[in-house]
Amino acid sequence: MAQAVTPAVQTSSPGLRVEVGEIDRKLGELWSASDAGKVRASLVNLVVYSEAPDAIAENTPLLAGLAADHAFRALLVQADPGAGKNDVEAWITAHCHMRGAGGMKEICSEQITFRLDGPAAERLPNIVFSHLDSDLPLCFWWQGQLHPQPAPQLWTRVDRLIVDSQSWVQPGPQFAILREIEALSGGHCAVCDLNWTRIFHLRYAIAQIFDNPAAREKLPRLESVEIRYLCGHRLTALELLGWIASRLGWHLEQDGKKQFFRRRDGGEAAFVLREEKEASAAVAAVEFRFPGAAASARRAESGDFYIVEFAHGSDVAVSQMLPAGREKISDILLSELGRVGRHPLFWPSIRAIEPLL
Amino acid sequence: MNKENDNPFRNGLVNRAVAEPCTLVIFGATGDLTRRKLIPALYNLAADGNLPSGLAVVCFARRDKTSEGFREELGEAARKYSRRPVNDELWARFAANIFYHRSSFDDPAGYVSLGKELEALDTRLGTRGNHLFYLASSPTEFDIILENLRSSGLSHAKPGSWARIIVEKPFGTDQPSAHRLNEAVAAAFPERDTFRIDHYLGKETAQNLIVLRFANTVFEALWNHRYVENVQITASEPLGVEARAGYYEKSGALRDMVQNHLLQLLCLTAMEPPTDLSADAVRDEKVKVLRALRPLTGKNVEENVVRAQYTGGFINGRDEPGYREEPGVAPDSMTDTYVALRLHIDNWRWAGVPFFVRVGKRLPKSGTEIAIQFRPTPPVLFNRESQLQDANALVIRIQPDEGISFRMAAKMPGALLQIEPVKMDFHYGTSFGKPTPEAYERLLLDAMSGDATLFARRDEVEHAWRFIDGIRAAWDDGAAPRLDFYPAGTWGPREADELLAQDGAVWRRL
Repeated sequence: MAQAVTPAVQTSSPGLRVEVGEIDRKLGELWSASDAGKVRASLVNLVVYSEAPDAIAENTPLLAGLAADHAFRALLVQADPGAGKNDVEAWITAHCHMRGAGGMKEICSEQITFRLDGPAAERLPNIVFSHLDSDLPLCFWWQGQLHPQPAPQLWTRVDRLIVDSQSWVQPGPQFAILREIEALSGGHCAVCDLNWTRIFHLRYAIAQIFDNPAAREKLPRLESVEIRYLCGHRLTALELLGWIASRLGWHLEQDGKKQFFRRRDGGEAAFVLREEKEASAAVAAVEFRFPGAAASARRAESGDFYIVEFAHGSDVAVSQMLPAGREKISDILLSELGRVGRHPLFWPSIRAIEPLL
Repeated sequence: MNKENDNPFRNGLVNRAVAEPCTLVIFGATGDLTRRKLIPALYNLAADGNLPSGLAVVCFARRDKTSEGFREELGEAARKYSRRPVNDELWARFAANIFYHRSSFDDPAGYVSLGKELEALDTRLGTRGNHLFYLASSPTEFDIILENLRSSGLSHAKPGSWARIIVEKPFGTDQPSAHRLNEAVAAAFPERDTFRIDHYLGKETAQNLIVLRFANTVFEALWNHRYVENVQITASEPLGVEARAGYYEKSGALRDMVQNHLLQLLCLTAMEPPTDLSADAVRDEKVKVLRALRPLTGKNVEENVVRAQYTGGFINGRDEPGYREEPGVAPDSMTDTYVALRLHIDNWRWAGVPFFVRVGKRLPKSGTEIAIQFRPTPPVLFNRESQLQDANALVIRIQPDEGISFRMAAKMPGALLQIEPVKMDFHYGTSFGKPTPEAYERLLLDAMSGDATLFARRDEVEHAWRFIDGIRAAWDDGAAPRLDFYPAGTWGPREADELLAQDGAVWRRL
């Protein structure tokens, strides 16, 4: 049994194959067979659901890496609702890392993996609820496109639904489903878009610029915003634009083919979304232009930081380096899991750019 | 000023006050504190994006150095002592705003030139006339620095700006000296702009004490004399006096540790729920605890305090000399390297509950913790034979390995009814992957934000000294208990065990 408790090497193996009805017993055996120096830790139930054919192989190493920084019980579910058979398979494993004072303790997070084929995929709520670590919050990371008719029995019990809108083919309808899920849960389920988390550090860096009074007093007359983004991350750039617009009270308007934002003072603010094939990050730079002044936040060449600047004429009033956060999906997910509470600015930001989706 | 109100992009990003642009002036900047703690803390704040866009550091000291040379020295220190690896690009940007200001502390001209430098930085870096002065020099220099700050006008902020002062410990050596120092500070800075550092309060676990007590129903309900048998607060370290003999000979463990760190922990443990989490609401409750501390004077000291000194012994695989053999220590020194106290808090909640506090050098291991020892269950059913073994204990570990553990009784598996203590353990390091910030990071950030919750207020400090002075007076006038001795590497003198035995208690084994 002990072969399922292994140091977290980046293996794609889901571990020891077990009967579904035997999972709890086998997990117990797995722990009793492991040595006494291992500590079983968990802060959250993390369900990862995907319909991609290689979901298990892709996500198992990701979860192993994640376990080093955030202890959890993971339920990894790979579903194929259209499969010609009706079958459920399960595996158990643990991801262990040296942690604690002086790195002297081996901390282990559990992973239970399921493959649901055909009609078995409809058993998702039961599969999830039967294997949760009691009393811990339930985070559900739904990878890919959301199903059009969300199951109320599932979403009313999920504390946090995590999606990544960057992967959505049709963002408009997907956001509508997301809203429906939130409503179904009676507001209990907090919605988290990893695309929104992806721009957290950039939003923080931009906020830092406008702590400076000289920069802040220019804000009402902001003339244009230009966002440079990496090919494939248009929605990331749009969410950032939506945040800027909603925070400034702008409304999107169209005049013929021209789209622009109407400022609070009635003036116009232009925007440009510039796609780049080789940008250093999902959003590589943002530039703000004011009468006689400019501000920018751009990713440093090292990649770990943003450099923010505000210049009024030839005077540079703000020049600072701020953490950029890493862009690997595991880092973004980790950042999201480490955050508590909801994202109250998310929906207003989406509404501000809805016609552009 | 809360910038969330006027910077529309701040809203929803962070749930704490944001540090304001300012210039930090460190007096005595060539000392160890700047190198080991302050600069690494500031660098880590920069790396976390927690520093304001306008920040300058002016290092005020006597030695002949240049800004360039001092930046290099600090860069080496940051690489050595920072909790995270130093990024060269970030360090270069951060260090570019560190300046060395050479002056003796008693030269008024040095403060005039400092004022000009601050004005220039305010214009150039947008620090807005906000000045945070940090007294990191020898305490003997505090008075003259404060006087010069006052007379030069630097302690008076311009309209719309602020001038604050951070005062390092020791804050006085007794109540009269603390009072004098408070008067000197008050002559230059109002109390709301005075930040007296006790770095224990910046530690995560110390802050978590309030959360543990007041965010969990289960503990607060039991947190009183009806359920608590005694409370033990321990700060132990294997180190000896090291290179601090000159200071330590004058202070001893009581002044060095109990007056500040341990009494602060005692206050957080014993205080009533504050009305809110504002600085004054929390500090009001802490002061009430200090005021309710039963004074120890005269004969009471002999009955409730054990003072001791380490002799030669064996620790961490090495033979170590006794305190009196340490360099710089008088051969007949009466300095306390260990103190154990039995304290009582005369209020409704804690009537009759002894608080045992001990601190010592050259003890077997390093650790600071607060242990709440609950009363045993009634002596029926399972508790007929061994009361101590079965009593619940809640332990809050301040350092190292910050966390909380709870000891409870459980039946051993098998046909026999055998009960054994088991421990539920929570470790910060293993539960939360993110590293714990250093205490100085939090405290510097709070001072820049104007949040004084984790700093000691004037009356707290003076109440604490008044209590300590009673004990010192008894020691000095001959009514004191004798000085006991313990071999290095042991858990203190036998008399400390006997102190607890009088209440049917034993020290927790760390």
